[in-house]
Amino acid sequence: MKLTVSPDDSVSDVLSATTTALVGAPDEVAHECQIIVDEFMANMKFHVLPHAPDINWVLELDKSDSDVTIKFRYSGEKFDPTPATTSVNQRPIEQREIGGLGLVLISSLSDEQHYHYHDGVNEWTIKKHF
Amino acid sequence: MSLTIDHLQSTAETVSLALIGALDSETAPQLDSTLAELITPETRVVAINMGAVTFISSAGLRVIFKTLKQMKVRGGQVSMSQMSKGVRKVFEIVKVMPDLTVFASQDEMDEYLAEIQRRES
Repeated sequence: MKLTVSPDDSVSDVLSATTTALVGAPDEVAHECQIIVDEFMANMKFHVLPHAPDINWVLELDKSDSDVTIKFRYSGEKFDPTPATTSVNQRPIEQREIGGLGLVLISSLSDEQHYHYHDGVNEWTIKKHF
Repeated sequence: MSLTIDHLQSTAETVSLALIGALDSETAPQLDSTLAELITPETRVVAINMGAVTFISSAGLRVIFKTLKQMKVRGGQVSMSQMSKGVRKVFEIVKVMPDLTVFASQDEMDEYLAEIQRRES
């Protein structure tokens, strides 16, 4: 199944479509893929689109017998998310910043991540095995 | 996906809620504004029943983090009950479990809130 997401699509519609696309996958996998999709959506709506409202972005989601692949593409400046996904601050809550959790969740909940930038397009591929 | 927020009760020092649905980037602002309305300068404990939360993403975590920080500064706390395995895993990934007071059941949390109310009176 391929989801083509535009800035006007609501998060709830995309998450519902994700649920439909993942019927047959283990509940835990479907649940964690929903989180990953929501993180992508939130990142675009709150961090990318306010600065570049005409940007093109596509979310593709494919389920096979053994894994789910989520591919996210958007045109624009190069942004490699992988360095930001590596660690969680372990200090007490009072001393921690509130932001930056989305990329950590994507990284922790996925089994593989691949990032490429070519022809002005960022492409981030996430795989989850089951 | 939607979120229903059930305001169970408030006392001088406590606010108790039950969440039903998804705590995602679209619904988290709803929880944020509800907490902003319910939390008073006297509130020390925010208790949330998570039993019917289908999933939580970082937007939901941010609201919980914000509330936790707010309560900790006052010497208070955020309590949660009936977290599902999937929701608990998300809290564990961001290493926030040690900062939360967690109850397995709503009955345990109610008992805890009742004890606070007895101290209040």
